[in-house]
Amino acid sequence: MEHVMEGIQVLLSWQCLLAVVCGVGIGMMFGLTPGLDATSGTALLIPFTYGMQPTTAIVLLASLYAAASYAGSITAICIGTPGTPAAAATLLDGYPLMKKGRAGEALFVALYASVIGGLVSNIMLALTAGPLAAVALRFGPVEYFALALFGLTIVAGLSGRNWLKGFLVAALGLLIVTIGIDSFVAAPRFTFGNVNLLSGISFVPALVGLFALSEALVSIEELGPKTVIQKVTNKIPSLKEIKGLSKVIAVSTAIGAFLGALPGVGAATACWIGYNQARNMSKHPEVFGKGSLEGVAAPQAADNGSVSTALIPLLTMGIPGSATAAVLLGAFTLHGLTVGPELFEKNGSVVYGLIAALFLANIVMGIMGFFGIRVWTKFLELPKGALTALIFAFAVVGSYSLRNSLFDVGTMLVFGIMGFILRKYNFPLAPMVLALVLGPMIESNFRRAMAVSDNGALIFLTRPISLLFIILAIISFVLPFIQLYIAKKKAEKSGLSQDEVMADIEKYFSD
Amino acid sequence: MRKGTIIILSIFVLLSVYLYWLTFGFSDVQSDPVGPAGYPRVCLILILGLSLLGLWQNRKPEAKLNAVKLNNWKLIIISLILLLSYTILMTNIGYFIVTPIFLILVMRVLKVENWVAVISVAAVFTLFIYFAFYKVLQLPLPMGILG
Repeated sequence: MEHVMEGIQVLLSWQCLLAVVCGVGIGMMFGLTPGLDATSGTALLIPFTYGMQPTTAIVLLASLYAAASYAGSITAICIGTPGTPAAAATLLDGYPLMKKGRAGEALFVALYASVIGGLVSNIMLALTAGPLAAVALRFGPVEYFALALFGLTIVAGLSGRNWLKGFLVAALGLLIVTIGIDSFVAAPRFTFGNVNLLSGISFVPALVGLFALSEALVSIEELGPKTVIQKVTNKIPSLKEIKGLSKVIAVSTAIGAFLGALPGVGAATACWIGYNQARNMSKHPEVFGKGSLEGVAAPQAADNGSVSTALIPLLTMGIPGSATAAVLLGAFTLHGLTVGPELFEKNGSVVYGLIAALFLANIVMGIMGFFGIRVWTKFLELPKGALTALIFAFAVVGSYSLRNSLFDVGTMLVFGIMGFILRKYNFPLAPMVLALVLGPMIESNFRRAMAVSDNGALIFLTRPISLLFIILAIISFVLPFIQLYIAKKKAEKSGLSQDEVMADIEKYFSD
Repeated sequence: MRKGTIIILSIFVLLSVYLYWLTFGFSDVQSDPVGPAGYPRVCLILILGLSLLGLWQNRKPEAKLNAVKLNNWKLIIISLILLLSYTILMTNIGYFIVTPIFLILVMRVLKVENWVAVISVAAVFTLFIYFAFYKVLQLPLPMGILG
C-alpha cells in the first residue's frame, strides 16, 4: 500500500503528468501511421528518454504504447488501411461504416471500446501483478532458465507457416547477445578485435534499426499519391446503441486481458478472437463485415484490453508479453531498473506509478481522441516521404545520443538493413527482439544452474516449476506442426488450398 | 522468394560454420562447466540445423506468385547513401547544419513536391530537436564547426 501511495504521488508530479500527455500524443501519431506501431514508436523514443527520471521515462513510453494501440483504428476506419497489425480486424466493419458516411460513429465506438478495454486491463494489472511477483520471488536460476526458454519458444512458434524462420531469427538473436565480454569468465567473444564490441551490441540502436529504420525503408517501397480523407462527421451513436455494445465490450475486454497476459500471444490474436466471438454472440451476425458497430467495438476492446496485461509477465517475471513489452524492457534496462519480482520491492514506486499513469493515459486518450479527431485525421494526409525522412532523422539522433557514439549509429544502420531484408523474405522480427532481451537471462541462468547441479542438465527436469515451463516450451515448439496438420486436414475437407487455410490461421498471429 | 531465401539461408550456414570455428579460441575456465563457448555453440548448431532444414524445404521450385519484388529500389539505395553521408557529416560539420539539409534532400528524393511543406518540416524538426532535446533534455549532439 505504501508503494501504491508513492506511485500516485510520483504520477502527480508535473513531469509525469506532462509525460502522460506527450506519450499519448506521440502514441496517437505512431498508431495512425500505417506501418508504424507501438513497437517502433517505443523503440524510436527510448533514446530520447535517457536524460529523464526513470519513472517519467517509463510513464511516457507506456502512455505511448496505450495510445498507439488505439490509434491504429483511426487509420483502419478512415482510409481502410490498418494503422497497426492489431487494427486489421477493426477495418472489416470500420471502413464500410466510413463509406456509409458513419465514420463519426465508428470512431466514437472505437475510442469508447478502447478506453473501457484499457481501463479494465489496467485494473487486472493492478490486482494481479503484486501477488504474481510474490510467487516469482521464489524462482531460482533453474526456474528462470526454463521460464525464459518458454517465453522465447512460444513467440518463435507462433510464426505459423514461417515457424522455421521464426526459430531461426530467434537463434540468431540469442547468438547476437553473446557478442562482447563474457561476464562469467571475462573472455571476449566474437569481438574481432574491435573495442566497440567488447561491451556487446547496444540494445536500443539495434531495436531502432530493426523496427523503425526497416519500417521506413519498407515505406519507401510503398510511396504513392497523397491520401485524401473524406470529411469526418461529428455524429456519435445514440445512448441506446452504446448501451447495446456493453456485452460485446465486456466479453472482448476479458478475452484481450486474458490473452494479453500470456507471453507471446499478442494483441492481434486477441482482436481476431474478440471479433469472432462478437459475431457469434450478435443478434445480427449478417451485418458483420458490412458496417457493424459491434464489429468495431469488439476488436478495439480486445486490443486495448491486452495492453496493460501484456505488462504482467514483464513486470513480475521479466518475461515480455509482447514485442512492445520487450522494447519496454530495454527502456527499463537503460534506466538501470531490473524488471522482475525484485522491482516491486526495490522500485515499487516506479511500478505503481506506471500503473497509475496507465489509468490516466486511458482517460487522456479518451479526451484527445474525442476532441482532437479532426486533427488526427489531418495527420493522415501528411506525405509519406516526409514521415520517412523524419523517422530517418529520429533514428540517427536517437542512436547517436545514447553514448555519443557513431558506432551505435552504425549498429542501427546494420540492424535496419538486416531487418528490411528479413521482412522482405517473411522472416518475423518479434522472435529476434525477444531473443535479444531473453538471451542474457537464458545463458546466465543456465550457467548458474549448471554450476550448482550435481546431475548436469537433469536439474531442469527435477524441479516442478522448471519442469512445467519446459513442458510448456515443448508444447509451444510443436504448435506450428499442429497448425500445419490442422491446415492440411481443413484443406482436404474444404477444397481450399493448404496455403489459403494457413493464411487464415496466420492472421491471428500477425504481430 | 525462393532464390532470396536460399541465399539468406546459405549465408547463415557459412556464418555459423565460421563462427563455430571461432569458438575454439575462447578461453576456458575449469570452475565453469559450460564455459564461454558452450552457449554460443548451442545457438550456432541451432542456426546451422534450421538453415539446412530450410534449404532442404526450398529444394523444390515454387509458384511464380511468391516472387519478392523490390519496388522503388533506386530510392531505397539513394536514401541509404544519404543516411550514411548524414551520419558521417553530422559529427564533422555539425548536427544542426547537416540535419535540415539532409531532411530537405530526403524529402525531395522521396517525391514530396510541396517546397513549403519540405522546408517547414525540416525547420520545425531541427528547432524541435534544438529546444526540446539539446536545451531542455541536454542531449549531447555534435556541434561541428558551430562548437
